[in-house]
Amino acid sequence: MASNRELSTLGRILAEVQDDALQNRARPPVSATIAAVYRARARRERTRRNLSRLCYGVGAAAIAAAVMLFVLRPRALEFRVGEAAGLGQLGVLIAAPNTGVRNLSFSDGSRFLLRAGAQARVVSSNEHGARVVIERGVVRADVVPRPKNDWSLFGGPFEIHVTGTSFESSWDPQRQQLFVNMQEGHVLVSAECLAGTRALSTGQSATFSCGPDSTPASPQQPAPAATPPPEPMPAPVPASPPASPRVDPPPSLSAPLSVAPPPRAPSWRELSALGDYAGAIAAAEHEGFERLCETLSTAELLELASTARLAGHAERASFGYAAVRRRFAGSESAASAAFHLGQLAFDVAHDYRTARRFFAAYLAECRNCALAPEALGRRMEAEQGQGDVELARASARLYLERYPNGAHARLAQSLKQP
Amino acid sequence: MFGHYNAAGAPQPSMVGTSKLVRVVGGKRQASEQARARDPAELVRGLIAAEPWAERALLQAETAHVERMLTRMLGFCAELDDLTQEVFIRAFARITELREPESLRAWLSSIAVFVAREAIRRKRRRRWLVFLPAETRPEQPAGAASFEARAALRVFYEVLDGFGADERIAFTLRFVEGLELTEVAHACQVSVATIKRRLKRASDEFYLRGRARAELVEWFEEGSRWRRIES
Repeated sequence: MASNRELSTLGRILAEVQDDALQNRARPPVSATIAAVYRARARRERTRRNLSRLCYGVGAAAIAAAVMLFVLRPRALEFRVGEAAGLGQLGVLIAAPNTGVRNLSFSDGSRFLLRAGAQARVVSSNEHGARVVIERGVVRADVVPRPKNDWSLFGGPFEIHVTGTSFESSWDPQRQQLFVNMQEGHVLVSAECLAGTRALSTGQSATFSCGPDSTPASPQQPAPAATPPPEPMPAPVPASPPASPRVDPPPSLSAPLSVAPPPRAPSWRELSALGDYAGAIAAAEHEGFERLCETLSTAELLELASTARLAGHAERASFGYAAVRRRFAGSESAASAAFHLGQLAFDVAHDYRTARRFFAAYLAECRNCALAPEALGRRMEAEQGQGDVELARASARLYLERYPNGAHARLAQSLKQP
Repeated sequence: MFGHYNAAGAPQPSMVGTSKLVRVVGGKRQASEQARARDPAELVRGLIAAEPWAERALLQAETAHVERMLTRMLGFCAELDDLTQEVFIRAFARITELREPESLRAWLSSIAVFVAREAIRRKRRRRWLVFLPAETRPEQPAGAASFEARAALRVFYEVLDGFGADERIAFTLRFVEGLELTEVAHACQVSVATIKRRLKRASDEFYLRGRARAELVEWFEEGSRWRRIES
């Protein structure tokens, strides 16, 4: 397992790389950042305000809708009796004087007139109509025609169902007879004692009784209630034939083809930057690896050689590093190439003599010598590997003098002691 | 003050004298603001009052720190400027929550941790949406680091992309930024014990995954290997 110390060392080195890159980064000026912060803050404030307004708007709309629903909710019809200021009450007996009439005025405009001596009650009402019971006497009804009208007058066992009509009806409780005289519209009269429903239309009149001495209907017999004819069955729709699969016609050979140019293949550098080292070397081979080694700049050639090393192409890596040393002899890049050649000799070829030679070359040629601790440590390892104990011991002493806490310090301590 | 007269004979103020006065006043004001910015308590008071000089001073002093913290946790990303702005937007909005003015930088670090955590989780959620184009890490800004060092840095964060957000943040703050355990715990607003557990998980995971990467394997075998090579 990697120790914390090793992780810290790696992390510190990576942090240096990051800090170096951040220093070179084009950062927006403070004024631009402040402006962006203010814009973002204003944008969030606007969003917050808009959201609040939206919530308030939705809330207000909901309240308004509730109020409208309340105001426009279906209300039961109300009525007034005569000239009374207040509204009539359900179930209360309404009586016309013996020498006069009594009006019932409903809120939809319908009117009922109780003739002299007549008595009636409004037993219930809803938005579509009311139930009026004729206790006795003659009641004239003028019901305003409206969709979904649902009025009923009751006289004894008889019910007169009204949808939009002007008629007179009377109930004689002693003779148990209902009389209906139509002026306009039509009504349906029903009772248990009647076989079915009786319909009366404009100009018709009839007397109804459930007793044994019931009066026969007026000369104009009421027409039987018509039943609506059955709706015709819809004709079966023939099934549509299955759609044939669409076949695109072959392209015309005479029409010129427009071919898009093939996308440009990524370069070896682009592939290397993405970590595709094998692909990068393949691309470099396609371009001509050896030609690249003769034409690339110092940094690019080092990068090509290191890419080959990371791709596991030790031979190509060695070729590239050797090209650096040959073309740019005496440069810091040439020294770095020596270090990497030493790595390849040690790690891949296990050629400790060649590895020692290259690590020593680095130490001799480097200027800033950033890899000096590693080069000295690995030189010491190579000397130990080739069996040259005295050389290794000398390198160990030198290493501990310069780098007492270096990565190879433990090895150096073990080699220093005879 | 009056240096010349107009055509009607009315005296006109000397613009040179006025501009000198403005420059002197401006210079004194700037010096005064700088002095106030150096006093943490005064700076925080100015931030609470949303005074422009305080907000400007905070950005000038702490933008580099916030950028560095975000870069440690996320690596180089295209949204660095946006995320940095987000940190300051939250800081300005929540400045009244700061109890100790001397802890301003540490407090900013904790905001940066939360912003980074959200960014990491957002990126992980996007990975589930396979029809969205894959995010590619932006090219690292040019620097003097060697090819191996830049490759190691890139691979380091590729390995971290497989970590949970909490483990990743603890790992980078501890080993890349170099914070002590108590500082990491304070920035993440959890206990030291929790940070230790997260670090243990992250370290074990990093060792397992890093060994499979050619750019890091040499480091695992021998320790510190990459150095910044100055050109």
